[in-house]
Amino acid sequence: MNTAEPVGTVTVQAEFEELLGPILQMAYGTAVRLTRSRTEADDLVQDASLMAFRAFGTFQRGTNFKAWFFRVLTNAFYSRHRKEKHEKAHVSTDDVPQLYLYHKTTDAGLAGPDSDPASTILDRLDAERVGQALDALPEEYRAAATLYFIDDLSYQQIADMLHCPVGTVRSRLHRGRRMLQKSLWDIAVERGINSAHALGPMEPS
Amino acid sequence: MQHGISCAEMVRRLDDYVDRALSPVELESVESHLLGCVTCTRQFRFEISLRDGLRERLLRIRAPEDLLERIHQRLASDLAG
Repeated sequence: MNTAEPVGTVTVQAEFEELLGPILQMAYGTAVRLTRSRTEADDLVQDASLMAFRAFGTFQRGTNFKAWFFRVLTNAFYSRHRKEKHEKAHVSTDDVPQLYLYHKTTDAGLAGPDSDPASTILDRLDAERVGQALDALPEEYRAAATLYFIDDLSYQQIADMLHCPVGTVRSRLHRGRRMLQKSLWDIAVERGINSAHALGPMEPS
Repeated sequence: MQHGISCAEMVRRLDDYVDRALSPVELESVESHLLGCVTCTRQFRFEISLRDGLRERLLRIRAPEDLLERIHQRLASDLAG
């Protein structure tokens, strides 16, 4: 149910910004991954905010503002970047086996039986490098993985945003997760942190 | 085969478990298997830890401090027409 106040007043702007503020970091992080550029992400979040504000009258008060806003954000992204939908992927789209990174890290002796091999590898990759690994995925996998990892959205919410069936989101996330693991491992190999003897002091994060 | 489902079946359920997308019945059978299987427990913990670690790192990217203020100005200009 919408409130009685008309859209277009300062009060409505304050209400909109009160809802936007807490999710702005998440929106910017999502935009950085979708556009792979901080400058473009800044523009995208601003444009999406304006579009959402103009459509705020259609937002059902009391429902999930985050899901509603991210739908506007992804629509804004696709309307700006439609031409790039068939961009070349930086990571192979061949099937990567389940537990790829688990087997790579344990085979390399990166973790003992009592330590966590996932932390062992991630502790040596800062946020920028983890972002680069995600950026290497083809667009349709990157978008689903971004909405999943950064925004913690459900299959159904992601499907609504990407305008595709839930089953497609599920398979993209499952396959994208394995491609991301391969991408992370490739970066670890490039950085020379793919064997136990190479582990030095952790990189500041 | 341990605790109802095999380790191979556990791997097939791994992604849906990590995504919290298993049905209550499937979840119960997976958790029952994990109670008695060290290898599957280690693998499932790895994937959960990786998911959480990736999420935490991806959220570290900070928006410019003045972004909300710039949005505020843009919305105000839009209202002013």
